[in-house]
Amino acid sequence: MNITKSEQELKAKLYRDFNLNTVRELNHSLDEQIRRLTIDLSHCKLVDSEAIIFLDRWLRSGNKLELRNPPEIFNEIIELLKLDQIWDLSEILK
Amino acid sequence: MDANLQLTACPEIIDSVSDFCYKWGINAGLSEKESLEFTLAADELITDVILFAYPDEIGSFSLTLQQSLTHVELIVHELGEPFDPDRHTYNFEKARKSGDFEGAGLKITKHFTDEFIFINRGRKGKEFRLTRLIHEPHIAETADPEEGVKSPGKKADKKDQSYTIRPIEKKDAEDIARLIFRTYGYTYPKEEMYFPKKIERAIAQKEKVGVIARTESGEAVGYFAVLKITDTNLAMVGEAVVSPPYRRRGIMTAMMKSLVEISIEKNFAGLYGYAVTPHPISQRVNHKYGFKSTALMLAESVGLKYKQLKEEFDQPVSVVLDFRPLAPRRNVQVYLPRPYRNILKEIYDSLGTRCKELKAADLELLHKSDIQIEIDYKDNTASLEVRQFGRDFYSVLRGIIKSLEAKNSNAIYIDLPLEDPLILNVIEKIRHMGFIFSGLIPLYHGNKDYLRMQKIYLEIDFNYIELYSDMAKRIKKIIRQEYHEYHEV
Repeated sequence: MNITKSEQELKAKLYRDFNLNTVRELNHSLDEQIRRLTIDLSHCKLVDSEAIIFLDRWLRSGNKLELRNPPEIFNEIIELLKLDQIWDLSEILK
Repeated sequence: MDANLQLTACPEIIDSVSDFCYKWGINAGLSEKESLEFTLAADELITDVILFAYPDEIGSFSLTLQQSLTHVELIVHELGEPFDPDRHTYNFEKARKSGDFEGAGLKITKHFTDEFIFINRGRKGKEFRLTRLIHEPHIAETADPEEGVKSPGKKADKKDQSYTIRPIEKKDAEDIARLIFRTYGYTYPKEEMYFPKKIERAIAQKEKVGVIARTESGEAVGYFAVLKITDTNLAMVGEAVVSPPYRRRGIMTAMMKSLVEISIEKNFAGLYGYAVTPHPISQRVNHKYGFKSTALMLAESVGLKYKQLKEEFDQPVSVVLDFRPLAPRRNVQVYLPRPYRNILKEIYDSLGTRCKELKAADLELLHKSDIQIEIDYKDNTASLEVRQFGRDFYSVLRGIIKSLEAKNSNAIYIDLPLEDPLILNVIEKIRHMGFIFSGLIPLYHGNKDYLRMQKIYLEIDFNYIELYSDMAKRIKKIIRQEYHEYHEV
C-alpha cells in the first residue's frame, strides 16, 4: 500500500485486498487532522465487510471519502447490504 | 487436489489464505469471478474466527479445501468460543441508524456461496462449510441438438460390427459426455457426466478409471468406469453406458471383464457397486459379475424420474451396496454388536470370508472422539465415519445431528468400526438416537470393515424397493422392521 499525506488529506493506493489488515494499516496512518481520504482501488481485487465498516465509520464522522476504480465485487456488496441507501455514492465513487 | 492447512488465528494470515483460496479455486475449475467470490466468503469466515473465536488468546484453526466433480468445498474447524450464526443476522436498520454491521460478514459469506452449513460439534468445536458449484460447458452446448434425442430405431452401421476396448484417456472426455447425452438425453442421474471438462479432470486426477468401446470407424459406443473411493484401496463401479443400437453384443460384458482386470492391475482390494432399487436390473448385472449385496441405504438420492422404467417414482431412491473383493480375504476378526450379529455373519459368509467374533471385556470410553463428516449437498444427505469413540462421543454426535437436522437432511448415515471393541458399548445408544441397520461395508474406510447405520427423515414405502439377491432381501427385512419400530413410536 502506498500512502501519501498532506495536511488534511490521506491518499492510499492499495496493491492488496481491502480487508482487516488494510483497515488496521489505514487506521494507523490516519490522525485527527485528516478530513479527506482517497483510496485508489485499481489494483485491489477484493473488498470485505471489515473495509465496509471502516468506510462507514469514516463517513459517519463527517469526513470526505473518494474511492477510485473499486472492483466489481464492491458494488455487489454495497447493493447486498443496501448501503446505496445510506452513502452518497455519486460523491464517493470516481 | 485437496488441501489441509493448520493456521494460527491472527490477522496476518488472512492475505496469504485469501491468495491461496483464490488460486486453488481457479485450479479446481471455478472461473476468476467465481473464485473471487468464493475467496471473499472464505475471507469473511476466517476474519470472524480471528476476531471472535479467540478474543483473549491466539488460537488456531484448520482449513480444508476439497473438490468434487461438481463443487468445491471449504471447511473451517475451530475450538474457540461458542457461536451460533443464527443469532448474528445483518439488520439494515441497525446499520443505517447506528453503524452496527453485526452479521454483515455472514450475510456476504452466504450470498457468495451455494451452501453454508454450520456444524456444532460440542466439545470438539465448530465447523463451517462453504460450497460453490463448478460451472463448465454442458455437452448440449457443443453437441448437435438432434443428438440429445434418443433414437432407438437407429441401427448400427453394418460395417461396424467389431469394436475395440481400451482404457480411457483425457482425450475421450468429450466422446464420453456425448455418448451419455445421445443415450440418455437429460435423464442420466450423474449430472457431471454432461460436462467434458469435469470428466477430463477426473481422469487426469486418477479419480476415475475406466474403459471405452469404439467401433472400427472410431465411434464411441460404450463406456464403463470405476471411481476411486477416498481414503481406501477400493473403487466404486459408477458409470456404465452402451449405445442402444450396439446393445446385446456383449460389449457390457467385455467392458466389465476389462475393468476388473484393470482394477486388479491397479491393486484395488475390491469393487463396490451402487445399484438402484426402483428396478432390479443393475443389481442383476452386478451379481452376474460376482458382486454380493452387503447393505441397503434407504434414501441415497432424491427422487429420480426413470422414464423408461416407471411412470413416476416420487420417493427417495434406495440403493443396494454390492461388493466384490478382488483379493482373497479368508478371515476377519471383528466385534459383532448383538442386534446384528447373525446378519453380519451371514453377509461375511456370502463373501466367502470367515468371521471370527472377538469378545470384549467391559471397556470405558477414554479418548476424544473423532467423527468425520461428508455432506452430499445435492441429495441432502450426510455420511459420518467414526474413527474413534471417546468420552465425548454422544455429545459430539448429538451436536452434529442437530446441526444436520437444522439443514433438513433427508438421511444421515453413520459408519462404525467393527475392529473397535467400543462398538459394543455404543450400539444401543446409537439405536436409541434413531439409527437403524443399513449393512456391512467391508474395507470401506482405511481398508477396515464398518457397520453402516442410517437415520431416515423421509417416509419410505418399502413396496417400491425391488431387490434381486436373497441377501439383499434379508437385509431389507431387518431394516423394514426397525424402520417401522422407530417411525411408529
